[in-house]
This record gives sequence, C-alpha cells and structure tokens, in this order.
Amino acid sequence: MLRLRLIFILSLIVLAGLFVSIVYFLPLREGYTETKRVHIIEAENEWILQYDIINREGGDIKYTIVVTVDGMVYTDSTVVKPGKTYTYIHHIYPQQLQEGKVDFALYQEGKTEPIEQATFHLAHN
Amino acid sequence: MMDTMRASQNKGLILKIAVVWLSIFLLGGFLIAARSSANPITMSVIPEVPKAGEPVVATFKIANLTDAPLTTHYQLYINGRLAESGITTVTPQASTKYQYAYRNSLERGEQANFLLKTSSSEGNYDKIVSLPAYPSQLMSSFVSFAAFSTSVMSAMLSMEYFNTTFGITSQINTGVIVVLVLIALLIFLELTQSIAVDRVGAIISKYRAGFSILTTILFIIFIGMVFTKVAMLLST
Repeated sequence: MLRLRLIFILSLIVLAGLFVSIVYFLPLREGYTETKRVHIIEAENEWILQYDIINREGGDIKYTIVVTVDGMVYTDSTVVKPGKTYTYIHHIYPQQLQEGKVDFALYQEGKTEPIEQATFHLAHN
Repeated sequence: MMDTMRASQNKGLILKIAVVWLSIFLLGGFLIAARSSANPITMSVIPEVPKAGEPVVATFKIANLTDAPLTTHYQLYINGRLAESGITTVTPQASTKYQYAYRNSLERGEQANFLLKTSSSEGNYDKIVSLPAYPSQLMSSFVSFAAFSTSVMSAMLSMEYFNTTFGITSQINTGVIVVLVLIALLIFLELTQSIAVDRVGAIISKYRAGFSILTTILFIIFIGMVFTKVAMLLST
C-alpha cells in the first residue's frame, strides 16, 4: 500500500516535470522573445511605418534607421538602453508615392550590414 | 473487512497510477511530435471573413530556433502580388514580428490569399493562409454568421488575446501555475487519505473536502485551457 502510494506520488512529480519541460523546452513559435516588431498600417490618408527596437542585450546600443520612399532618403538615429524599447514611426503620404516602393533599413553600431532590411510595395491596392 | 478495504484502495491506486502514466506517455508523445515538426514561421490573418473597406491585418513571425544569430530572407504575397520582402537577422531563441495592415478591396466572400516564404541556412519554409478558408460557394450560407461572429468576437478569439492572457508570452504562465497547484493538491489528498480514515482528523477532513472541490474546479479549468491551446496550435 505504502509502496503504491509512493509510486503514485513519484508519478505525479514526473507528470509535473513533464508539464514544466513542455512549457520551457517545447519550441513553440509564439513563445519566442520578440526582439523586433515591424508594422505597416494603411490609415485613412497615409501609410504608417512603425518599428519597435527592443534592446535585450547588456549595454546601450546605437541604431541608425534609413527609410527610402521612392528614392527619397530619410535618416534617423537613436540609442536604446538595455531592456528598453524604442518605437520609430514614419508617416508616408500618398503624394510621396510614385512607384510605391518603401525601403527600410536598420543599422546597429559596429556592424556594416543592416540587421533588418524590409521593402514594402504600397501601391498594390 | 480490513483486507477488502485495503484491496479496494490498492485497486484505486493502481488505476490512478495507470491514468497518470497514460498522461505521461501522451504528453511525451506530443512533446516529441511537436519538437520534430517545429516550424520557424507562423502567420495569422484577421478578420476571418473580411468585408470591403475594412482593415485586414496579416501578422507573421519569423523565429530563430537555433543557438546562433540567423539571417532569414522573406517575402509576403497578398493575392499573388509582392507586398513586403526583406532580410532579418534574428538573435538566438528569439523572433521578429511583422504586421501588415491594409484596407480590404475585395467583396465579402471573395477569397484573399496570403503567402509567406522564407529562406535561411536552416532551410526554406512557406505558409499559406486563405480567407475565408473555404471557397465562397461552399460557405455562402455561413458567411453572414461568420462575419457577425468574427466582427463581434475577433478581439476575444484572436491568438494575440490567448497568448497574452494564457500563453507563454505572458509574464506569469497560468497553465503551469494551475498544473503545479493541481498536482500539489493531489499529493496532499493522497498523503492525508490514511490519516483521515484512521484517525478521523476533523480538521484534515475539512481541508480534504474543500481541496477536493478546488481540485475538481482547477481540473476543469486546466482541461479547458489544454483544449483551447491544442485548437490554437492546430489553427496556426
């Protein structure tokens, strides 16, 4: 009786361990930490490009953002502190668009290649 | 008399152990299957039945399942036209989230197709989402109901809502807490069973009765969460 009870309790502990391992070791895509968020939103009379830079590293990181709207270049730079999020917003108006091609590039200080590069084709609607 | 009672308790315990090990094997199988079919991309589009002029939001995530930074090329096609393309470098065990929100020009019931393609050193992946999920002829009788239900309940039924409330993206994981409390309660009930029977401990019996109800309620909540999670996993 005592042995069976002990086996039952140990089985419950194994089950609890399995549940915890599922949560922490199963590669569920939704569970991964988001380090960047890119949004392009069509509003009433404009397109809004929003980019969230999340610094999950130890020190301050300087970023340079380059947005090109049909050849017109807009540059901005920022320093994001550890654990903080910087939200970059760029408004794109229909009169700025000809071909409708918007390029976005994010450079991190010390790296020659952009860590994020996106091209939006906004004239498709 | 005592022997009959003991034999009955033994049978009950053997049954409980069998149920627990069945759960362990089922969960183990699920864990192995999920690990082997891990896909680094996911995409969801709301609403399910878009109306003309209403915003459609396509959300996709590109994850890095490896332990080194990973550069991924991606393209998002909406109704066959390239809407977005790019290159992203994702840090280990992290993901990048993209949202493309535009005003729908298709009439209600017309099918909108979304295709996401990615390529990296880990392989090529693609994900297709069609809205509505079935051709309009097939679901014409359900369109009005579906449009109503999605417009009213889209905020509640979205993956975002579930993830932030019950998912592992939330600060405190509700599922793990429920499971651990449930298992702790079961261990308590098991350990105090003989005390309650032999010594008729009034206080412990009182606690046992209360905790039995709590265990049942938590179990029902947990089963509901498991079914919702499985439905969400199958839908992505």
